[in-house]
Amino acid sequence: MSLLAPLFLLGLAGIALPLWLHRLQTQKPERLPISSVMLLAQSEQRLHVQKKLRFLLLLSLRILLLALVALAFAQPLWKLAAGAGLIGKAREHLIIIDNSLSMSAEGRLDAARAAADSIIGELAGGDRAQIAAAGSSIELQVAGSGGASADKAALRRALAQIRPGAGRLEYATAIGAIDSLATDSQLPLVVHLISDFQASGLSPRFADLLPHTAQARPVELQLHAVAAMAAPNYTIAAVRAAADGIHVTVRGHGTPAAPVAVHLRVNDVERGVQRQTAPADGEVTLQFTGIALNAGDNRVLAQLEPADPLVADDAHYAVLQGGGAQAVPLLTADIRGPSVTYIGAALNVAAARYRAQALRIGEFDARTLERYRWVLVDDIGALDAALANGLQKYLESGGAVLAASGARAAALQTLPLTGQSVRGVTVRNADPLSIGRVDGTHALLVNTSGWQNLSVARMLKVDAATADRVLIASEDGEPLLLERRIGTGRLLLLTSSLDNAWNDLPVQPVFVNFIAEAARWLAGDDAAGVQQLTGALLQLPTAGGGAVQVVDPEGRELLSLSATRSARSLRLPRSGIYRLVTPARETLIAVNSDPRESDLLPIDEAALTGWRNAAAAAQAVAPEEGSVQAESGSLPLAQWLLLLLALVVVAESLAGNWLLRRGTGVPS
Amino acid sequence: MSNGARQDARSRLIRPEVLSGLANLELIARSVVEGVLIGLHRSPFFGFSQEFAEYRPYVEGDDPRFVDWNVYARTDRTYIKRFLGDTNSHLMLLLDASASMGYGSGKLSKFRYAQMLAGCLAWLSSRQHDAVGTLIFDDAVRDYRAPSTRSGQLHAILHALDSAQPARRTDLGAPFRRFREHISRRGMVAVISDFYCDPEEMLQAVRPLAFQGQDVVLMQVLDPAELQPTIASSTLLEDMETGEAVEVSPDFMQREYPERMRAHIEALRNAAVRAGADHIVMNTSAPLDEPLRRYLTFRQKRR
Repeated sequence: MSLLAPLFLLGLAGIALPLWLHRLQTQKPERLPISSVMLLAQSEQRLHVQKKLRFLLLLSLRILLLALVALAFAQPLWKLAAGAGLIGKAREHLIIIDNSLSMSAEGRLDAARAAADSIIGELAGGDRAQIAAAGSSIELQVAGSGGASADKAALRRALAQIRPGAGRLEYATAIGAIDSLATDSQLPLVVHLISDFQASGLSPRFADLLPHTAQARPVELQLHAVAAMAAPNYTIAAVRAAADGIHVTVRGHGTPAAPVAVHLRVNDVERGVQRQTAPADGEVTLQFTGIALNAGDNRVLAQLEPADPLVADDAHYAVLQGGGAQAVPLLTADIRGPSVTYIGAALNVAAARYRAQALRIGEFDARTLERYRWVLVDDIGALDAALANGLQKYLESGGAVLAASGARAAALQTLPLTGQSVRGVTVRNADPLSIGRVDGTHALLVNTSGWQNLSVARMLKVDAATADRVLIASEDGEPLLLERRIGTGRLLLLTSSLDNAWNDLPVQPVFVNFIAEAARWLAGDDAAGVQQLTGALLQLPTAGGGAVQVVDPEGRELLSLSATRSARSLRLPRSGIYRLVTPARETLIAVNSDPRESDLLPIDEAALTGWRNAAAAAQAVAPEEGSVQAESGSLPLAQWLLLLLALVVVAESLAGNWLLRRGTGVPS
Repeated sequence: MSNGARQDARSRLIRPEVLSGLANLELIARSVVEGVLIGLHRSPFFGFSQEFAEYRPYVEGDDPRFVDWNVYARTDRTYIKRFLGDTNSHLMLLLDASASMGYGSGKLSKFRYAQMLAGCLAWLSSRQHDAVGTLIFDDAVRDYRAPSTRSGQLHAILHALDSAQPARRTDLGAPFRRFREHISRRGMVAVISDFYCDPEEMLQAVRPLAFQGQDVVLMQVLDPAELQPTIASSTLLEDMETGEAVEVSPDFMQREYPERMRAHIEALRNAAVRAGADHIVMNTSAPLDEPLRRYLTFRQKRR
């Protein structure tokens, strides 16, 4: 017998505790002289002897209990010689079946199931196995009562539960997950990886493909390839909007030169078929001209025909922006003022998705604010009460506003929207202020630079509230740019102007970048990309703590009511167009399979042989390093010790209770 | 004696544990006896001490101190004045000095109490002009002084009592046989012991004395803790003579042991009756006047 953690035997020192306690209890009671014992009952003396005997029984139980605890922690293994029986040859099998997208190619998953079934059929007596499906995530298929099972019928039922996935499998990820998938058993572990072994799934570091466990147990890796040959496969690599319509790029993997056809549907309306000959193992772009997209998001589905061996990647979803750039209202008192010019120019250059639409404050209808993803205000002091009230509601419902300051704000005692008191205006015409601090951790500013060149001649003096986050402060510590959350919306307040009257920001290089980042951040474009891969985790927006819901391509809501406020991410299980719904807006997300899964080229035989050899070599080294001989096998005793421990605990409790009821006193 | 007067008399008595602090046994005996006698003089207790009994002619050998010189002046004859107390009786004090007598739950051990009691009896008897002797024993005779009225006998007895130490085991048989061999005259025998022995064994030892015509009184000295023990927890009690240890529970000592003690005392009393002896139980927490009074009562009945 050997011990995996012999240091735990130090716990045997704990036996001293009951010994000490019992010595205290069994040492003779207070000894007093008496004239004669002739009148004392002899039965008292006999009782004393019996009590000591009973205490010895209890002491023995307690010592045994502690010894078992220490021994169980030490993880004893009963080494069995080779051929010592079925237990000596027992193995734990971990069958990992690749169910990534590429395994959807005709026949591959069935072949994998057959291979796994064969492994299950060959399980020897004493062997146990568990089955895992590996795609974008690796999930154990529960067999029987869970954990490794020797029940072949249960294992086959678990095998039948495996369905084709749409994710991507990196083999290094699967190998690295062995530790968490395998049980705590000390049986030798045999890992069966059943896959089509796509060349694209290989790790650049070969060492990542070799199994290793934190436990000192031998691990054998067996690779079961279910696709020896490359299969030609077409996939739609991209769908994008162009000036003349929609362009669809078709990519062939291992394909000969052949005509391909693509059906296009826009907003669930068939918009035609394009056919073109694709070069051998190359790309071809099909142009759907004359298609006018609607303003805003458009759902686009490009479907390849004819179907090829891998059907799952023949459809490609896209969300295309129609109607050109979205208008962003620039609320100003002077639609011909310099701020309109500067901001308009910056937006045109930096953010093609948005264009500034200068609107006079007195003429703007606040009820139309809900149409816009974000709003610009060139002088917060110019807002009238009605518009300020409308903007307040717009913000509370999830809107976003970039407001600058100007001469009108300087004349106010309290700023609208924020309610901040204006303590005056810093005027440094002769000696302009520079920037003292920039919060580079904020998403808005992380990609901007050059603020140190900014000169500020005038800026409002306002105090940041507790909830405000000062993003930029001047050298005298006054906030220049601060963020405030209002409801579920967000407000950026620039305490100087957006023209060159109070500072030179519009003429600094950082200005364009700042406007671009502000547009992206305020519009929430960073919260959820409109293009995602199948199996990826969608990061859900959490601003303001508002509820979020995700609707899958079939129109089913994926988040429960409680999860709409608490969920931070969500896995996108399949291709299609999802809707991300927040209180402020609805965003369409096109989810497509990883394009690398479309390349069905397997690892060449030489590389696969090298992988097998390296795994075998690693396994041969393991017994020398480890303390367990794979050939001899070993029987872990911990579970039996725990069972015995439970029995001893019960016996000790019964004995203690019995002694207590006898009134003889029990050492505690 | 009224109750108030009795209490007044008791209040002058010194507690035994206080008396034991006095180093001189003679002083102790004198203090106790004088206190008792003062109480007796105030009481209608007749027939003791200086009470006149008769005149008889002086014969050679009589102590000239007892010549009544008034009678001689009137009649020109020498007469000896005799008193009731002058009975020419003798008292033999048998003191158990076994180890068990060394027990005491407080400051006062049974042996010290017995020493004081024996001293007081010796003093009282000497004052009565009785011949007093002692025999100190355990499992053998440790010291023997034959009864005598000689001058210096009292001091010798007190010294012998004072110097005795409790040790060894109790055996009434051998010492009592030895005593019977030495005693020939009738008198009083006071056996002071805790009597941790078989009542039958005691009977066998005492009965021959009674057959000799001795008036035997058994004074059983017991500590209060022996009559009503109080232990809080299970205790190992060790025999002071044999070293044998017995673990006892508080419940046993509070319920069963007093019953056993009571039965033992009763058995001793019955055995004493069968031997024609008196049996007196003495609690070491009680003042010494009580046993002295009982002794005097016993002496009175004997006359």
